Amino acid sequence: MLLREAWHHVPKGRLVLVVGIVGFLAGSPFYRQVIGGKNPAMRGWVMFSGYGTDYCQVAFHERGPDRDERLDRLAVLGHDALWDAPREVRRLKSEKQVRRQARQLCRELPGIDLRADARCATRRGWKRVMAREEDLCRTP
Amino acid sequence: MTGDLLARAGAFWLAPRGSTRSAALLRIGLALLLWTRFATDLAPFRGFTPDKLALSAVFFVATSAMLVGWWSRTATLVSGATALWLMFRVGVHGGHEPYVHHHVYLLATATVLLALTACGGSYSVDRWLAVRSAEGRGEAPPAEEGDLWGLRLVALLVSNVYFWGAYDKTNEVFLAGYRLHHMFGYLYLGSDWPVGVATANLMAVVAVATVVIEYALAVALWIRRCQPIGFVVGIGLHAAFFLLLPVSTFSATMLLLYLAYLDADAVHRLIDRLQGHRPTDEPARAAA
Repeated sequence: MLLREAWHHVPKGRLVLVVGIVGFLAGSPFYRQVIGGKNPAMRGWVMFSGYGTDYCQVAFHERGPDRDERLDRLAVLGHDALWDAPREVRRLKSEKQVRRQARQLCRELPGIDLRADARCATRRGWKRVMAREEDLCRTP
Repeated sequence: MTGDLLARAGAFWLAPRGSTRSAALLRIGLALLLWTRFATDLAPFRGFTPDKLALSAVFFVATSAMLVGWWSRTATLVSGATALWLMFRVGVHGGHEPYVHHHVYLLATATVLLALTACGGSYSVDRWLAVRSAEGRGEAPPAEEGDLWGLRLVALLVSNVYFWGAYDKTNEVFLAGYRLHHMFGYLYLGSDWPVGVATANLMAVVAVATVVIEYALAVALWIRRCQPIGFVVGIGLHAAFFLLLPVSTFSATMLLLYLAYLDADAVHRLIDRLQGHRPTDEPARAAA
């Protein structure tokens, strides 16, 4: 079929509409995600990009003269299993909450030298916030 | 050669015709998903201010008409426009964060695009009125056939979601499994630093697999030969998202929109077979 004949049969109005819509559907994410545009009318497909960034992991350790033993923080606080513990106990959202839980452990285990390895989630990966450098029971 | 290619592309994108049953199923499904997402928020007991009541009235009248297929395309367009209004006016401009999410945009955009196609030609009050009118004139019922170019755009929307979603995840942080570890840690694992590297390794494998699958689905769902495996993998992926993450209506919407990739006449024939009707080669035109 000749190009001219094929072109003759193309519905021009719909062609303009389709090109416009396709351009918008594909162009909006390109504008937001590649160029870095901020216009809110142009949407990208960035999903769960910030989800879970208010989350930290911690390993508490009891340090002695000749030992450095990991503590089961939930058992010390009186919970048999992860899902038995209240959400704010099993899931710590910030370094501040890690320190608050450390103080609770200190109350349960008076006199211990409590250290912690802790890291918190960011959009760029993990951020190390503690590396057993201080006794958390003697930190104000 | 170039002319043939242009003619085929034109027929595929600009003037596809076929059974309207796929579009009708999409219309019904999207109306129910719009209710799932917005109905509770827009119920009159949420507020009696004139603007809220007006928005509520427009939403419920339009989506009800969309569901039953009365003035189907207009109702679908108004429903989609209302969802876009909720997203941009109430969400983006008004600061209501839950409406800014991608699942709302997907739902609203798909609904608007569906209005471009003959979504009232089957399973609708419009269809019933057309059949009754034909019977009154002593004619055969009109064919369940119509313009389907809006379905192409719906399919393109879904492929966009996959491609750009994967593009966003194509970075060292996601592929190393860190971001999935954050999400699953937040939801399931608690804040105990895992012993060993098994969890981190598993998250890295799942992260890479997710990105590969999303890139592949962006393309594979268009290719007839790849569709069976594509649908199986896609359904598995969205089932996992739906069960494991707080995705709201996202997974259900994506799976519903898979209908747009399927040959509309094949869907028609399948429904005929399921209902025990004699299969025909040209179901949509058979009644004409």
